[in-house]
Amino acid sequence: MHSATFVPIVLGSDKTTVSVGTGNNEYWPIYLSIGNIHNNVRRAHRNGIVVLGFLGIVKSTHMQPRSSATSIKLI
Amino acid sequence: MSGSHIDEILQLWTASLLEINPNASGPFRNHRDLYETIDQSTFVDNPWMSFSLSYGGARPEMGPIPTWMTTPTEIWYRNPRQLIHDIIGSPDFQDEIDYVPYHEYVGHQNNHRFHDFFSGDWVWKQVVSINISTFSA
Repeated sequence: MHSATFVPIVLGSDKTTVSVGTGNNEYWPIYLSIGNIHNNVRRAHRNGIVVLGFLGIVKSTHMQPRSSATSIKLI
Repeated sequence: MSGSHIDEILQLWTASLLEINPNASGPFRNHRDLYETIDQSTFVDNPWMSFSLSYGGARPEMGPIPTWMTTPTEIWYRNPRQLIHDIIGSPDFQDEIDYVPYHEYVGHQNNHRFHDFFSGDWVWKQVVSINISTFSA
């Protein structure tokens, strides 16, 4: 007999952007976690939250992305 | 690094622990034990993939066209199902994971105590409302 459990998927992003190389390309990181793991694990950075993806930010002539003091270099 | 070098490091590791606890041992017995542990790991490669995304909606008929309407942007991602499998299957979380929702009530007032995510009302409502026939083949 198969058994099953409920696995809520938690997705998130924050205003911290990631720039690659010279900083011409900026990305929003998208994080993934699941609701099953305990809060202390999620806070302890033991791969309880993983990076699912990066969304490229289009350079716009009309609306510049907000600059962030906490941006980090990926490479 | 050769197998004999790994063995030497592991022996030094154990020796450094013996000062504190005479029964201590390092994380692996020898290089074979290390290799077997790696081979048994459930983590599989999850490569990064990407695609290009472009705006396909209406554009202004008058005035300048914003560059975000004409410039493709890149989306980078990994297989989300595999990432979730890796988290659920990680032995690191085996004692720190919930499989069923629960409610905790404490004290004379029977106050509902909220702790981890699975102690909350949202999870409880989701699980008690799942139609089991959805999953039967």
